[in-house]
Amino acid sequence: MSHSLMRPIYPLFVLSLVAALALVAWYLEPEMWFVWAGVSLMLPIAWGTLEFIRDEPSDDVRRSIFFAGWLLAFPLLFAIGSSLDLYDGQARSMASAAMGLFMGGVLIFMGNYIPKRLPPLDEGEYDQAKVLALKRFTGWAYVLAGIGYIGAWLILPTTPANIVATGLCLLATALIVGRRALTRIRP
Amino acid sequence: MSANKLATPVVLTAMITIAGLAGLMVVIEPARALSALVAAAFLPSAVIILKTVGRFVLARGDTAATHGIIRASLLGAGLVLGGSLVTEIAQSTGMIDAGRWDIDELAFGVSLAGAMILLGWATEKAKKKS
Repeated sequence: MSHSLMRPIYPLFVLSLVAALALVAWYLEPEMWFVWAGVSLMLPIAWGTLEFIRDEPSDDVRRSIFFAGWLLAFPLLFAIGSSLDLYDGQARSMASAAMGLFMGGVLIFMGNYIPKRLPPLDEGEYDQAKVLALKRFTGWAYVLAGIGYIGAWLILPTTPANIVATGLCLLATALIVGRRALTRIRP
Repeated sequence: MSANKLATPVVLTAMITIAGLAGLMVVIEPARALSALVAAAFLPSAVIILKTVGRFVLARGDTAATHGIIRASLLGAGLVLGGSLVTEIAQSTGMIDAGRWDIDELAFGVSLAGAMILLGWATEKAKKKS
């Protein structure tokens, strides 16, 4: 399966967003400058080290920088809101729910993406149909777990949502390990 | 899956760092010794479980790339754990206001972002090796 290279504009956009949010947070709370500086420098350093210094464009690295950027942008938004005293007592559970929804999305994406990226096994030595079926099962298990994860954070309060969402991930992993253990992939 | 493919120097360093942070946590806040112990035991337990289960789950033909993705996942989990411990220590020592849930979320986001970058890098290496 061929994958086109993610255009650098997408991770660059998220990086700029993180930098802009960090600047706003810095303006609002200058005494915590080291936190804002660390957060805004983390991704450019990682991306620079993994792609530009090695001079090798990588789709996987760009995608991971893109998602990682959103993982920083959301909490920075919460931090800015908190500095501006915008929240009431429900803020923390709303913030946790927002992170939970995003993590569910990441689980759906990664669950679908990583099995496709795993290198193939020797053709003569393994039953390719069974190997492919296992990879499909893995993808589906994590995608469904991700949908359940999002559902849990949408419907349930923080503590049960956390337990159900984590439980779904563990259940998906256990099902995959169980199915793999019961499948003979050698003809 | 053999232990030497998992317990590489980087993974061992992560284990020692987390154990050190957990130790510091116990010294600062003895009441949270159990949480610290669980955090310190996580990576070694994961390596032992993967070594045992890996025999059934991984095929003999699985390449170094697959092991790389597993190692990156382990390190990612270690990063999230280490990040949580650092945040807890910073809050316990008063470096960060313990009431600042937004900084808590930010620290969690930073750890997860680091884990995601590690996984992306390992996936890229896997693609190259395949």
